[in-house]
Amino acid sequence: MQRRKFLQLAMAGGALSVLPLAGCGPKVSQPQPLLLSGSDNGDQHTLCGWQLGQGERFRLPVAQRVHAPLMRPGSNEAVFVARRPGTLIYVVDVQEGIIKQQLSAPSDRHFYGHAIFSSDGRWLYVPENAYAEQGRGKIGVYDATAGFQRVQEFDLDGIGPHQLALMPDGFTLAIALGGIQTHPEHSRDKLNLDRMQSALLYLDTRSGQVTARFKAPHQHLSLRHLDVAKDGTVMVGAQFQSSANPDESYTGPLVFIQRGKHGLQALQASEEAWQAQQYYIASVVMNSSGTLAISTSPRGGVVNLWQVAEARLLKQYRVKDVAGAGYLPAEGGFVVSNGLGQLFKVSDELQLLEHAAATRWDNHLLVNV
Amino acid sequence: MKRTKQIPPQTLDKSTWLRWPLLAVFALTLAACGKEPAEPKLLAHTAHEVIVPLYAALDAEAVKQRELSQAFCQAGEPDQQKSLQQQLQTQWRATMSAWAGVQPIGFGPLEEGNLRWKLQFWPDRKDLTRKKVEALISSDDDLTAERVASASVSVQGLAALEYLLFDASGSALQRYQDVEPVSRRCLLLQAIAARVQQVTHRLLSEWSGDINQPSYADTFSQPGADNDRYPDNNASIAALLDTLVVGSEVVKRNKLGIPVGKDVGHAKPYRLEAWRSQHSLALMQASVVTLEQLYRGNGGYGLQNYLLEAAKVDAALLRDIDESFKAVNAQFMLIEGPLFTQLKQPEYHATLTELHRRLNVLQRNLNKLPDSLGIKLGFNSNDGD
Repeated sequence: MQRRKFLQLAMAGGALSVLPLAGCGPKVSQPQPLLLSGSDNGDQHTLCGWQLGQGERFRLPVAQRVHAPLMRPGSNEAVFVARRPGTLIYVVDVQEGIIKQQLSAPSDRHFYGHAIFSSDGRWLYVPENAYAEQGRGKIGVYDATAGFQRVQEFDLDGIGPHQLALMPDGFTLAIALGGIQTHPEHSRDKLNLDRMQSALLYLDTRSGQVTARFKAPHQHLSLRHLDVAKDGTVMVGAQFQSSANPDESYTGPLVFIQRGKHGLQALQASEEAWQAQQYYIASVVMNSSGTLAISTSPRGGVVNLWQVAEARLLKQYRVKDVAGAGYLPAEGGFVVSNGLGQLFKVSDELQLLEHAAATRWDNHLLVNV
Repeated sequence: MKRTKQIPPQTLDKSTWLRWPLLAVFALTLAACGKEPAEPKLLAHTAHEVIVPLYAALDAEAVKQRELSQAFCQAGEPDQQKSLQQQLQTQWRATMSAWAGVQPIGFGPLEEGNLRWKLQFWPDRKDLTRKKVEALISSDDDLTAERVASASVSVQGLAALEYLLFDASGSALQRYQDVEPVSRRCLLLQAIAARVQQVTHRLLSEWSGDINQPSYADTFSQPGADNDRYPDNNASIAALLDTLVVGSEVVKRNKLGIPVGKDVGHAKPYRLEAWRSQHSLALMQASVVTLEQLYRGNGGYGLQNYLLEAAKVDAALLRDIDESFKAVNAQFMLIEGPLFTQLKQPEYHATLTELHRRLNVLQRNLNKLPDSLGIKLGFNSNDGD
């Protein structure tokens, strides 16, 4: 077991050199990547910048709990989007470590915690819940060159757009449509489990039209998170709504890939490996060449390492409360974060990198290299 | 290598450290030489004196079960076979009770190795156990412990053994006798019993450690930034609290609430744990005994001591927990098994409903502990986005 091997090495080393703490890390010539993530410290929601090997760069208290950070291409700006039913987007200068701007959702709208920039960094596409219109899903379009003014919106003819990504063509958005209706007056209750219709959508940002729609392979699977490889392969992570099926224990697949005009293809893992994921995928991330990927399952406390071309599971690691995931190109490995403040490197073995005291890393992690 | 003792973060005043580095080093030295901090004492006692003995007891019962199943299958005379089957049934009940004693513990190799289902496939709403066990007996496969280990979880573990030992049809002695040259039913029984003991042995050795590996008991009770499972004391204490909160919920809801139903007409005896052996009540009690040992510390420094003396949790809450354990135990005394038949007796319904109510009070009181310590049970795992 890798854990033991690691512990033995750590103990044999004595100095516990795996733990460069803030300010006393090893001197490195190459700057280590900056990780961005929402985090909770006690009851305080914060936006955090954490440099591997160096520790905390900034930690900014905010009113709304955020979900996913992303960098604006060609700038030092990151945006952190509030999770549902949050209504704020924080624009952060990651060099200065300050909040430059705070955007609010239009009235009767809230965000879902995700957004994506156009490749030139001008347009910010943000999934929104038009909850006064039976929860219709919209993509709000904001102009970053005009103070993030909201200039347009796209209708998705569906409910619950969650994570989205820009396809390699530069104009198509891949959108995970979760299918679950919520309303801020009903907390985070799920209002339509009996008729949910989750799908992977493709939307042409030039026309604002949905150009393709791939249905989730089970009525109660909610497609929520995705990533896109350079060759256009899309990987999607799902959550199974077990509360809709108290008498049916689902042990089927939760991660799929989609290419070209083909439907969703389930990745291959044993029933036990799926069962260990407890119905729930928090993040999916592919490496830059699209050959390897990981998915995280906080409820099961597992990280899956996938071989993408053969669509099969290579390894399953145990990491408690794991959720955030990113790729470290220089290292050729992945990094994951958890609610215990830990950061692990994931490759052909699992390695504890660092621990941030009194920190709960929130759902998503971004590696800014 | 021994780790430096952790100082609780609230005692660290950053400005003092910067201004008085020497004083700070001196204070640290004093703290390290002072009296033993409460958290390591609590965690070490809980791991070594409460949890490891429960796994040792389970493995010891599983060894006896494996041996008795071999003796049963080697018996020549029908009378001897009948007597040994009865002994094996008694042994299965003992093994199952020992399992119910570790079942609520929600952390450790059982979870990390995904072994829970391998020891007990439950709930089994569609009676997959019967279908899969009979299908495997009817197949041409070699019936070895290895074959069982690779089979569906519904033919592994104690529920499959229960079917082979207690089911009105599946355990009938003539079905063990009517196959030549060797009874495949007996081969499977022995293979499952051997497989169960392989798993219980692995759990015990991982918890207690050996020359090749550090023990999980130490991993759990020695938190630190270099510990890949438990980075700080709160992470270990959270695992313990989670066990109390979830463990009491499973007893209340799955073991009792769902089978009892809202009235006698809605009772669901086949949803009881171990309905075939009619051993359900004892299993519920065994799980509560473990929850209480984890709370009271089984004669040593337990969570109750820690909460009262070190964490300064409101004494009223601790009194409520104390009383709710006593109330549940008192109600258990009023119930005579088997629940399988009592569930359908109108005169018993109020007694069982009262047990459910008391378990609910216990669960709600235990559920107040995380907040009272400022500990959150799970973060991303409760997210839902």
